[in-house]
Amino acid sequence: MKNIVNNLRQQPLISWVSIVGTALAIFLIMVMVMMEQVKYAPFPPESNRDRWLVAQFMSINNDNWDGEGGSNGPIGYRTLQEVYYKMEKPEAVTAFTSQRNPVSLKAPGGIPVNANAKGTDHNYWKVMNFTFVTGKPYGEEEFDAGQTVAVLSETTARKLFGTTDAVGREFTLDFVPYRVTGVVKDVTNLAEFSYADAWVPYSSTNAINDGWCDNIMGYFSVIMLANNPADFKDIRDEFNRLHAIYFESLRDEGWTFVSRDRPYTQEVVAYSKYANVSATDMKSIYRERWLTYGILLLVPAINLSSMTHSRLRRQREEIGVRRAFGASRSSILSNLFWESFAVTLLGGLLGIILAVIFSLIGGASIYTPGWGMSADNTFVNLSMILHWSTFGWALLFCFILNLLSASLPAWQASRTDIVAAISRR
Amino acid sequence: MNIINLSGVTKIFRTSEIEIRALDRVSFVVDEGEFVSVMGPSGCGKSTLLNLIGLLDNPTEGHIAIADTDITRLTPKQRARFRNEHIGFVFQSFHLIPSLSVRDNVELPLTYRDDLSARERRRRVEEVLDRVELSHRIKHRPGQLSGGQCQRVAIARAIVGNPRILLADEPTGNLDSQMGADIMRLLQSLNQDDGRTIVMVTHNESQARLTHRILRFLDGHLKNEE
Repeated sequence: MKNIVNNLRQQPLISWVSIVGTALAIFLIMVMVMMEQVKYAPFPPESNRDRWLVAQFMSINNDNWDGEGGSNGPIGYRTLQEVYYKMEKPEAVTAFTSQRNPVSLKAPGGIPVNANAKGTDHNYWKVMNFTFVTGKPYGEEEFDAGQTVAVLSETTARKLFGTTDAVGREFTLDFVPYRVTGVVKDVTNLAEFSYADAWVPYSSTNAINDGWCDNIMGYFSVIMLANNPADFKDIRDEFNRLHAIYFESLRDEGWTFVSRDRPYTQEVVAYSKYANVSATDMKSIYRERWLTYGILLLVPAINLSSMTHSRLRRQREEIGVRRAFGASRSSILSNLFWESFAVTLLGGLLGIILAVIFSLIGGASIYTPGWGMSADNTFVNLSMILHWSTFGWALLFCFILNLLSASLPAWQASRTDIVAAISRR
Repeated sequence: MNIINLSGVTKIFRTSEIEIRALDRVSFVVDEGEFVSVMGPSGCGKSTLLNLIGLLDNPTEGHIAIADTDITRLTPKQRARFRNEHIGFVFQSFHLIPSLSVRDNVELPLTYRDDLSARERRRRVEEVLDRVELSHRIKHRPGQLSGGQCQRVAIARAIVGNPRILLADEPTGNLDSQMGADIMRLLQSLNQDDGRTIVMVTHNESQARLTHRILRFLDGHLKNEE
């Protein structure tokens, strides 16, 4: 460490240019990593993403259609009852209306407020991890009874009542009276499955009857929460078994199930947005991702390499002296590499800080919400972009950047001719 | 008992255009505990000789044995270790690392040894700095010292690993006569009190006379010994 600080002090200009260059490289790549992580890494209220298996859509066919197309889209209430709510392997199963549902809310004497409402079951509150500012979610009894109760976001509560202290207060949702049971912190629309302004029991809406293909298809998505990702296989087995039984019962009507390898993990769901095609090949996503990372690292590495080379040329005499007093080539190489890595880490830390600031300030202009979402409710907070894995990625990128930029100059420096270095030839 | 044994050592520097025979079939021995000076005009091969004995360079032909080890057969890693354990260097222009303190400069050779604890390294550094009477400058940097003090730090660095051989390349060349005399006294003390073998390149006849033997070189040949 002493050497690192001394070398930084000795060549302040080169050191700062190296640090800033590294910081910019890591900044760019970390913004990319954060943009990817927001799609699938856990953050509240979707804190359990890593334990999710998601059936956002389903696909079916009918023998009577003579092979002319199929039906692909959200899941119907009948299927929920016959398959998903019968599942025992998941810790919890929740169904919720999958599409953006614009509604008009109005408090007594107030003005109408446009909002997005999401119909959910009571298990939704177990699968998600909302932060309640006041009140509590609706429970099983309220859901089963189809009560017109609602949970509002902070902003919606303020718009309707001028306060978040709104538990027990009434408002109308598309002219139907509802009562507030709780108010939660606002949810970014980057959290696709939890985002809404108002959440209501879907049993209080017409979603149950709103379906097609004999109500096999409808307007629901389902998340199965596993105790542990290791249970995914058992859950998938149960999912397939129940679907097989279900569609056996539908055989007379000609319905057949098209699996498309569902359900998917959150990461696969994030990249598989279409109901009528199978899951995106994640290997191609990873290849694209690493190719982009590679280019983002290689270009600055070439520049940083010449900086490192220049820095080490100035240390040539010192390296000669160290070798004269017994430093082996390998110890010089290793010292130079790790000294350079420490400088890279310093730049990397600065890069992460820049990426965080850029993400927090940039928000909606950098992070794109899902289809049909406006940018009004797109925001980013620290819990979304900073994970332990974020630091792991940053460390890895710093290491690769250092490997690319410092290895050759350090190797050349370690082979410095001692006599030439000491005699300054 | 001889500690340095050169046998038919030749060193040729080649470029695409010319070939320089810096040393030509040089043979001599130095006994353990001897203080030998090497003299001769510039370009006669004095420094090349010191570089070869110090394992900083390889001879083109011939053999060099140091403490019964044929150093021309060592691998680069073995040479580094051998240098660290057996040889200390004192250079004309000190070659202290400007960014390091006196303590860190002196400690440098010990940092390449695996068998010494940090406490032992500190103890040895303090001991040798006491020996060269620079304990009070331990936290200073080379830029804050006089030339004579820098050379004493360099000598402390050369002896901190307790090498059997000290190679000094014009150690007083950059110093005034008073400081030069101080350095010579210090080198004599290291030779007489510690029994350390010293090979010193010098242009100064009176300083050479203070050593046990003078090897005179001319055009890469050992012309005579006194």
